[in-house]
Amino acid sequence: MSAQEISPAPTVDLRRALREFWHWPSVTIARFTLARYVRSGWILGDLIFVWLLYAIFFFEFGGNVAYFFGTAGQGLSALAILSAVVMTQRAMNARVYLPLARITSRASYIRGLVLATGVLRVPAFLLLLALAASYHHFSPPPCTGIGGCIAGATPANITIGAIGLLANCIVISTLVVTFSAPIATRLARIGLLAWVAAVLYSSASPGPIAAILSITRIPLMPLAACYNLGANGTIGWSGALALAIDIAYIIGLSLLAEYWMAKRDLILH
Amino acid sequence: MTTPVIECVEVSKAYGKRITALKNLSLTVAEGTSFGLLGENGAGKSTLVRLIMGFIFPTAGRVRVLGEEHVARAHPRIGYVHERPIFETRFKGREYLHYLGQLSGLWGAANRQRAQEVLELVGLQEAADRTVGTYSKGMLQRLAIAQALLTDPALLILDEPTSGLDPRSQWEVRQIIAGLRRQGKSLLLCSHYLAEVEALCDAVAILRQGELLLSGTVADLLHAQDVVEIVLAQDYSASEVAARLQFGEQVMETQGNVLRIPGPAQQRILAALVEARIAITSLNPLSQTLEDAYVQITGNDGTVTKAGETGTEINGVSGKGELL
Repeated sequence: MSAQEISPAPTVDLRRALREFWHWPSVTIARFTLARYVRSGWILGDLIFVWLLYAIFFFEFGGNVAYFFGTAGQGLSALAILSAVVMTQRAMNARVYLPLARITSRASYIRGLVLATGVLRVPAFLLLLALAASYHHFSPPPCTGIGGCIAGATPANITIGAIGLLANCIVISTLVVTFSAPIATRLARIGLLAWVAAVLYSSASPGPIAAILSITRIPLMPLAACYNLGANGTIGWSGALALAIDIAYIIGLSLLAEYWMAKRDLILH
Repeated sequence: MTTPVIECVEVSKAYGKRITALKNLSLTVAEGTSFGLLGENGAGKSTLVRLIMGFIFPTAGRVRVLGEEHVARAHPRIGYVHERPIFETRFKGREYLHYLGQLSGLWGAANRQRAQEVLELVGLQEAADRTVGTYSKGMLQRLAIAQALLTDPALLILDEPTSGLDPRSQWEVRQIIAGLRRQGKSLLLCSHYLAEVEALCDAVAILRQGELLLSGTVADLLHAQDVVEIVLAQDYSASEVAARLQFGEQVMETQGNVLRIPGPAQQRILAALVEARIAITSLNPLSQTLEDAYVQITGNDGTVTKAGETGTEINGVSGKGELL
């Protein structure tokens, strides 16, 4: 068979595909939202928060991998709430009119915002991990105990734990975006706060009412399972299911935000 | 017949149960028209602009822009200037244009080239690499116009583009708008400055308390509000002549031997004077500005004088919102 008869293998123009992806309206909005967050100086707040997290919880006490992921999970979740609130408030004022006047769907703007708030979770986690790793060596080999290492930490369980932690943080940041003004109505925000109050009450109080309200904690079960991924070091079917539900939460909350946003009258100042 | 770029059919907009911003408004803007939107604060201009841009939705009625009922689908063909500068102050003017250009589907070299073109068009090329926070109000407004022109839009919506600017900056912005008008762009200009609308627009609509008071071409509107001054011979008293010939309400004002009458009544009154053999010294059409016409239409005391309600037919100007 001559060379001319050989039909060229179908090639994917990866460079072009990446370029197109880079210029999608949602990705463009995410890039700009992140750039605005950095230039406005709010990123310093994130850096300081992560450094404080490290200084308070990891500087003197390395703990084991469960401690690392448990503490980092709670701290970075709090950071996810704070930075998503700031980013969304800065993105949803009168300045939104100009980008919205260019795109054919408000959904692109919401997706960009969700993407920006989610992507920012990655460097925050990596910074915390780098700070912890810079002081505490990971084990094995020999971990001499508390204060000198993060016991039980291996590349595998750090990777698996990171996936679970980041999935949870992105769910939280997406939840914040979805229930921010002007996307959600006041009634929806009150509903969310009522749910959070019920969850906290059922967790902290004994008695029949708390027992009944414990049903409100069911939606949090996948998040709890994802937090445990780092400690367990394996994903397993339950971990995979929890991750899948986390991803479903992110997609579902984004779609809900898009639906609400599409119906809202935007009168912003 | 030209295609309408904006069609509002019996549009109403209420905010909650108490505030009705627009009431049953119907308006059509033809392609290639420079259309002015006038009205006092709270008249409903900004609400109408937001409806046309799809930022808010009508409570009743239908809005169609560039043939699209789902207005956002027309966004790539619309250039929009917000009523006040709303830019990211920490970005350079050029960077911000690149961002908005990318959202409009312009990439790489094409995006950079188009940004440079519009910066040159509005005279901002030298300040393009400064952060927007250092711009003066006039520069911000020129940047606002530059971003609106990025995609060479079929329709430009300018919401109070000269508001708050110094006279020089106002003049500069008006020059840019006049240039766009000469290019045959369809413009919707929302403004408080009547002289500006008179100079830049072919047609106007006047809103009052959420209702369309009147719309029509600027020429017809001015003509409809024309006043003619008839100077009778010295020995005539204008008021006596008016009473004798029963001109009644057709006469706006009398002073000595001078009669002031509305333009449309000119032919009828002149015929009556000639028939009565009353000598006329001179006939002077008094030129009207849009401001004069606006005050007459809306009333000096704030009362509304509707063309249809007074029984006066005004050529080419309709009180029901149709652009004739």
